Amino acid sequence: MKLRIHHTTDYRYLDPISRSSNDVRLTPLKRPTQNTAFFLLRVLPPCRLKNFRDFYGNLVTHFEVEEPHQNLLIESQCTITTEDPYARGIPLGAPLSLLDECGLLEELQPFLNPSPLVQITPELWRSAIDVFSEQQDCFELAMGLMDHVHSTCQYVPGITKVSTTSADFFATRKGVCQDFAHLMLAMCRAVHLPARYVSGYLYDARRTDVRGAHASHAWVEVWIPNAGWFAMDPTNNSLTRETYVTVAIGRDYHDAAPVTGSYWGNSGCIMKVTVHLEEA
Amino acid sequence: MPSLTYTPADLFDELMDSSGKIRECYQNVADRFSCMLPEELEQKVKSLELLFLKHGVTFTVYGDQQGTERVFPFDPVPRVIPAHEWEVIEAGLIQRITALNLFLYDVYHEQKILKDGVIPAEVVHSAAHFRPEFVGIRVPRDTYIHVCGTDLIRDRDGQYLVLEDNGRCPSGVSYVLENRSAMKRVFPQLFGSAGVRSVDTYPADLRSVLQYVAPRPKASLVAVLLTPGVHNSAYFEHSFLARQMGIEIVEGRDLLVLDGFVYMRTTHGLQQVDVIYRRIDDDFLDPKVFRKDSMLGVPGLVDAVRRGNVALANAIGTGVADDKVTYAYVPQMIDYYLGQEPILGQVPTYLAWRDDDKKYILENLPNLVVKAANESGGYGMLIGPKASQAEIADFHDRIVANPRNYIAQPVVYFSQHPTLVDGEFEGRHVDLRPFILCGETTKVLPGGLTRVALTRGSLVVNSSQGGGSKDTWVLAD
Repeated sequence: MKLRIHHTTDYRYLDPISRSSNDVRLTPLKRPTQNTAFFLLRVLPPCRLKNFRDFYGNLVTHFEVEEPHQNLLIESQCTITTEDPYARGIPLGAPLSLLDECGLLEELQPFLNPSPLVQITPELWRSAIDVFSEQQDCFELAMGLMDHVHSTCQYVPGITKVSTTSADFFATRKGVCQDFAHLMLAMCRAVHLPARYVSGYLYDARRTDVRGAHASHAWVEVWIPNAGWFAMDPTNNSLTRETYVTVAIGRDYHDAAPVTGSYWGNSGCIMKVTVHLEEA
Repeated sequence: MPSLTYTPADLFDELMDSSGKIRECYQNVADRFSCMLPEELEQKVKSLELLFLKHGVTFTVYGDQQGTERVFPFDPVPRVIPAHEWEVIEAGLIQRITALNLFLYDVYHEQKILKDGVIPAEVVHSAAHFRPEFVGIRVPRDTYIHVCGTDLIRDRDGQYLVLEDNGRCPSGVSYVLENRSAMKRVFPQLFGSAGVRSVDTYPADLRSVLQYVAPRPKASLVAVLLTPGVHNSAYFEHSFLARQMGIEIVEGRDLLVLDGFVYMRTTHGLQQVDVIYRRIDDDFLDPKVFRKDSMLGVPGLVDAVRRGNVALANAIGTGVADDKVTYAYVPQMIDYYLGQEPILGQVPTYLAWRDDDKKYILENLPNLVVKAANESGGYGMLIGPKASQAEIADFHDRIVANPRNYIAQPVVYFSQHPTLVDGEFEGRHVDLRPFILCGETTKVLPGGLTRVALTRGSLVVNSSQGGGSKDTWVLAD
């Protein structure tokens, strides 16, 4: 599937701020199932953009606006071809016993332990164990956890914030895609299934009931022994097909956030984000 | 009928690969032309000429003794660009125009790229079309170049290279549309199932750009096209575009400025103007600010622009971005503002302004193409290998006298394309000018003006210097 993505983040400060420093992760990751044909990042006011790869392999663009400014526009355009990551079937057949060895792999360590937004409480662990005890297979376990998160939580925008942890969300069970993802991550990690946070986009041709489509979306990838990373979307209780575009990965939202930054100045700020996806 | 093929020269040939085999994208065109009788072709060429004459598709040659208005020569063999090549061109142009617009914003505000030493400050400050009086003035939507015509050529390997960016008042798009409509009428069978992408949306797209930059959102927005008048070489285009967009075409004397607002004189009285698509150079826009002797402009217009009461497309001062010295630094701009590598290459450029380069240029004049930094239309140019001793000596002196105004490039032979010459097909040099519109999104018109040098071996494709044009087909996937 060939998709065109247009994503703008427009900051308006109520009073001019003296400077700002920003990191954006908007360049889709290079992967076998997705190929970026075109990508362009435009920042206004213009400034020097510097790219680097972070610890998780995401391409980060860093820039600083050093003069007083009242607006900051970050606009990305992208044309990308995606394939169904599950085209060769779902990776069943990895028994749970293989998970013990995952802990020995250094590359999986960050995705097995709690992180700032993925907090594992005893209650949360108990729920995860209930699902775990019914399963034999790693992938089915992940599906079970996803189903649990999806069926016990409600999608309600406006209640949670970017700083809401999995533990906070577990208490109210009302939130948005990133909260669903954080909770599923916490449950996976509670039962020693390596899991990481994914930020990206979801295309929905029919523009219907799919949650998180035509906005920045978030979901989860789990590590299946002998098979690799596989993505699942707990907000929609579905496997990620070719309609998903992976932009960045990390332990939680903080590692993969599309736009982060800080500014010097004593001013309120209005942020407006628009995401538009279309089939090319 | 003579077949479309001919003996290829030692150049990139658009029609044939190096073994003389017709490229896949041209198969359809080649088949159609080869089954046409000579009389049939002749008759079609005649109807084409008649069509252009009737439609008044003309241009004006300055300094020509015999009647200044001429029909734009047209060649019936279309230039074909396959989808995968177009994808690269499109991506490269969007990248480039985005960088140029950011550069313009920067040089008219903080000048960070100069302060960081990425582009020498002198390059900008010495550019003839840099307008220091506009530093610090914000333009609507922070866009400077709304319409850009970028000239591309192909080197020996078929790589598209940017030859120059035209970010002031690029012309030629009306020929793109007229060429297509004439081709469709005269060679309807050629289009058949060829999968040629349409160019018809251009006037509507241009109108949306004008709407987008309007200073105030207004239901009944008034946009006008400002022309220097009927004696301008591109007057045909001005009237064509105004008609197609459904906006008024005006001359300077039709507008007036009152209290910082621009009004158009109409039979119903004055009407406020929001956006001006101007086809007049900066110098002539406003006699109060620029050339005092300009009869073409509108006194007070620049003040109205400064106050943000009217939008100009393109903005004032874009010439600093298409200066031929600035051109040499576009790859650095793309790296600086976008953090990317350029998608489209460009021609290596020596700047007479740098002492080492000047020495090299002066020693190698017979092998180089020398261009004046701020000229366009093929004027003020020396093609070393074809120049006489006297011309070379003349340029030598000119470069020594004013090094900032000259650049030199190695001779890049343009690609070759089958062209009808006296009833036979021969290879002629072509370039390509695609048109880019920057509004809410940046769009590249899928097509462009292919200009052809009708004189054998000539590299000058400008219409003012004996060039013709072709219909340009961009194929859908």
